[in-house]
Amino acid sequence: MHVLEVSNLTKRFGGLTAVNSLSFTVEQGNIVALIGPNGAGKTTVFNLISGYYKPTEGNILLFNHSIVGKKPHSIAKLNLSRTFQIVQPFLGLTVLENVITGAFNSVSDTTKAKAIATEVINKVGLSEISQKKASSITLADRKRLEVAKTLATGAKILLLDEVMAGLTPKETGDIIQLVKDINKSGISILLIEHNLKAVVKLADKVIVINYGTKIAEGLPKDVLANEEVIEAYIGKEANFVKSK
Amino acid sequence: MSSKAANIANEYFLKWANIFFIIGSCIILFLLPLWIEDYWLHFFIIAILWAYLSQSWNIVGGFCGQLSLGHAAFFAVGAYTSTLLYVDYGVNPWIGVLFGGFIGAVFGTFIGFLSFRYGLKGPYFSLVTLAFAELLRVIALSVDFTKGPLGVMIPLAENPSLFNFQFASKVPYYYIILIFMIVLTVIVYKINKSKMGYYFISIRENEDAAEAIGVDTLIYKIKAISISAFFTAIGGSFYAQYIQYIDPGDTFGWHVSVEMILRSLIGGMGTVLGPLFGSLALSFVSEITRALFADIVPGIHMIVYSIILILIVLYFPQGVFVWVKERLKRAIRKN
Repeated sequence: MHVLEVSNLTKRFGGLTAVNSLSFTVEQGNIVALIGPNGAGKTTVFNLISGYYKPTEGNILLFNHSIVGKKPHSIAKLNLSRTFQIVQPFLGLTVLENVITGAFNSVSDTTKAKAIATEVINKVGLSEISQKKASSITLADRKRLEVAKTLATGAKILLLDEVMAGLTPKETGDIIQLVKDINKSGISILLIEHNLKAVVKLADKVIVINYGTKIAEGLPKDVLANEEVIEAYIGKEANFVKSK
Repeated sequence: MSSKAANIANEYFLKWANIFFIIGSCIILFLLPLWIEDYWLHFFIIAILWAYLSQSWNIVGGFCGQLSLGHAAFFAVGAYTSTLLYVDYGVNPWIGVLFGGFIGAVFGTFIGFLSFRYGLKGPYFSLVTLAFAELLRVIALSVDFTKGPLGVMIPLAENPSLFNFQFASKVPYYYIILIFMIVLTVIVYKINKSKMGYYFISIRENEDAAEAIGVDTLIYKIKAISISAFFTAIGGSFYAQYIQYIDPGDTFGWHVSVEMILRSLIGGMGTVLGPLFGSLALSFVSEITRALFADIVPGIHMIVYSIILILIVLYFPQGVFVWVKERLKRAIRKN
């Protein structure tokens, strides 16, 4: 079953076509990576799917229901949640309070929300700092917190926007493990990533876009050997692929 | 004692110190009329009224982060509703108070929907609320329905009593506003711990992030301003019954909106006890500057008051109450 089906998704900002007739699917239990050079339109795709932008054309089906035109909070109620490229924690609240806010997506009682939040915090490895204000924790922990908030909503599909950006190799390794664990528990994941090593380790399927258009789709090793993809990404990544 | 056990003991102690402090303050406030006379009773009635009004503003301003500059609109709507109902139609003031609250909530929902539905945020929202209050003030000055600039006087009842919300002595007014203040504070405390409270705060902190995790920011912002307007309007009705005269300038005036914000700001926006402490502190400062400086040069006490306000905002940006609380917590933790 397709958890997410995007068909002919197009977004125009005046004369600029940011996303051009994009189609792809995410299957239940899979990790799909959306990659492409900077400015390709990846975050725009996320904004379209999660309801922050309205598509100019095209359709988005979540569990076979169209979510075009729905507001982000309605889409979250339908079990899709997203993280942001620049983390957006509720700085004035503690880690626990941040996650409790997410848990209220599925329950109304504070005690129940707290229970869900505590469970998620343990799963994600934030229990040591659950009482600390979000403003006082490290970037790596804020990234974990961002993921924890979305998990607490009861999401069945997560959209992770460059969750590894700005992390050390050790921290990146930890997050890769976290994403794997979340996926193992049955949650489908669509992620935007520039870290191609992580993409190879995580993704079941890779979609490459450039200037808003899909230029390749398939298994990580196939896609990364594709000539057009290498051309779009001229530079370090090309050397990495050739040496593989 | 191990460090973890010491931490738990500390938190336990802090929790009970907090409760003891709150109950102690309540007892003192309830016993106050035994020790003070007319002038100081009036002082405390006004200080607690501002604390109450500031606390209602706090719901939408401090907790939900939507800085309304036009709350005088709701205050005045409450005052005029209960007063006109009583003076023109003989409706019992208590019913008028409740009805005034609902009319206030209607105005709140209206201005909230108009602003938030069309995406007004931050300073744009603040300006619209300011304009709204001014608009209502000018209307109130101009129409016969509100008796225009003459204002409305509540005639002295032959038998002032709880039933008709008029009293010969100031003491019952004091207890009524004190009870209003305590009830509202308990309500705000409960909201703070509930889903609605968490959602309000998430909207204040980051609207986009809130939407991503299921918060309907539009509905909750409208809820915040409606609830806030309801309580503010009730405060307006109390004011009318106590002062027994209202006019457009006193009730719709800009200074009313400012005072409500100021007392939360000074005490601590978005905290449960901030407005109460801010209000008492500001009332005292105002009183002391007036007593000490008013004789020297007319109006100089206002300059001193303003300087103190500026210093407080500069050095205690989170609010004085929050600063005091943090210092005490740290001191207790060290021991």
